[in-house]
Formats: sequence, structure tokens, C-alpha cells
Amino acid sequence: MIPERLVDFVHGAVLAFVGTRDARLRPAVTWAFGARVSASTDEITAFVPDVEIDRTRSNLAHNGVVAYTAVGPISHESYQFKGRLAGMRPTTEEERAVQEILRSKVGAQLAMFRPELITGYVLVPSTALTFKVDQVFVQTPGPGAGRQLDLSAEP
Amino acid sequence: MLPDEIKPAMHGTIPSTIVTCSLAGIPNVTDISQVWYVDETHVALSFQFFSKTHRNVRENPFAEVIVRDAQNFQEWYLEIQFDHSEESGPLFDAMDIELEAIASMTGMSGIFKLHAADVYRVLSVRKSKSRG
Repeated sequence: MIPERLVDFVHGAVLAFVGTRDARLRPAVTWAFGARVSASTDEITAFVPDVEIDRTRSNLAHNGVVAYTAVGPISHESYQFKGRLAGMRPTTEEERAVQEILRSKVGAQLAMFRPELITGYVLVPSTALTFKVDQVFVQTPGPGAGRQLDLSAEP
Repeated sequence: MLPDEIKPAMHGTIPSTIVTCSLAGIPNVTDISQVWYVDETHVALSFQFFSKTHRNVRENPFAEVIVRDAQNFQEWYLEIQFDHSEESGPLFDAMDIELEAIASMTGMSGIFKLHAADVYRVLSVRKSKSRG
């Protein structure tokens, strides 16, 4: 089960990216803005803006392999979640509200930049990409980077 | 291939993002501190840790990076292919100095350490549509 502290982290003021790959093992990256975690089912639903989703969608239709990394923009705390696609659908109104709340949270953290850094991102329409998490890795720069977390060892 | 207007996105002010893929087909996404403009067809990435990214590109040389311009916030997507690694010389020295500066600005002094400048050939470049 995804530990509570990671649920809180993913629901917090983080930037996030989705990695996929095609049949030739060529990787592709896009960004996600907002996510909801279901700890009981070990699923993450990431909200991926459609303006940059084409290769991600095509790759996931082919093989379903997902890597999702969330990063604290100031703390550099970071975790990578790897798993398999469970479903894709358009985001709901509630999920679009989550994205706007995140926009405010991240904008407040990145106050050293002009507001357009965050306000300029095109978030509508977005796709809700749900995947089942198999593995979680620490990505925070430093000696612990790359360590796999034992999901059964934490509450 | 790389236009002049991409150069400000390679100053390391905003971290870049890289995805690689293992031969087993598992992608790996992480932030990186430096994407350095080498010439019109090559960039160099700082190799700081013996990470999954480092292992992946040694077995499958393809990667994609997003770089970000801190002035106008334009993002660029680059498809790249690992070419070779330089552990000394002018490129290494220049990246080492800039990495020190990035580390001191981001509270990462003592954590960031350049092991090598990994040089990649640029396969494609395009402006992101993320800002409309």
C-alpha cells in the first residue's frame, strides 16, 4: 500500500512528469499537472494536459508501462512511481478544480519567478491517466537516490 | 538543428527533465541539473550519480529531455542519443564550474558532483505546446 506520507506528498505542491516508451524502446516524457492517489488500491490518477499527450497516449495503448515522477520544486524531494496503466479518460470538473488549486500552490512556492511560469500552462483539456503502482523509488538528489521503498514496511 | 533561441533554456536556471528506458522496457523519469549546448547537433548532460538514467543509456542510448527557458518559460523537447562520455577537458571543466554555481544556488553544494560530461547527438528538437 502507498504510505500516507507519499499520498500527502503527491497531493501537495509538486511538479510531475510521466515517462513511457514505444515498441522500439524509444522513451517519451510529458508533464502531468495534479494527481489523486488511492492508497487502498495502490493507484495513482495523474492529470495529463492533452496539448502534449499524443506520444504518451500512443505508447500506453501499445504497452501500458508507466513511470511517474513527482518533485517538490523547492525542496527537491522526489519520488518515482512505476506501474501499469489501468485506464484513461477525460478529467472531471472536480479534477480540473484540483489542477487549479495545484496551480495556486505551486505558484506560491515559486514566487521568485514571474507568475506566468505557472499561469501560462495550458491545462484544459486534460486526460486522467490511472495506473497501478508496483514500485516506488526515492529520487531526491543525494546518497539515497534510486533506493526502492518497501511499501509493506510503512503505514 | 538546435536553434540559437534554445540556448537560454540550457542555463540550468530551471531543472530539465529526462526520460530513459531500460532494455527490459521500463522507462525512468528524473530531473537533471544541466543540459549543456555543445554545438548545433550535440548537447551534454551532467553525469553526477551512478543512477538508473546512467545505466539505462549505456544499454539503450535513446532519451528524451525537456529543457526550460527561465526568461520566457518556453519549453523544448529534444530526442537525443548517447554518443560518448568525457571525464576531463574543456567541456568537462566548463560544465563542472556551472554545476557548482547551480548547486550553490539550489542548496545542493556537496551533493552535486560532476563525474563526466555525457555527450548526446540530437535527433529532433521542437517547441512544446504546453504554453499554448
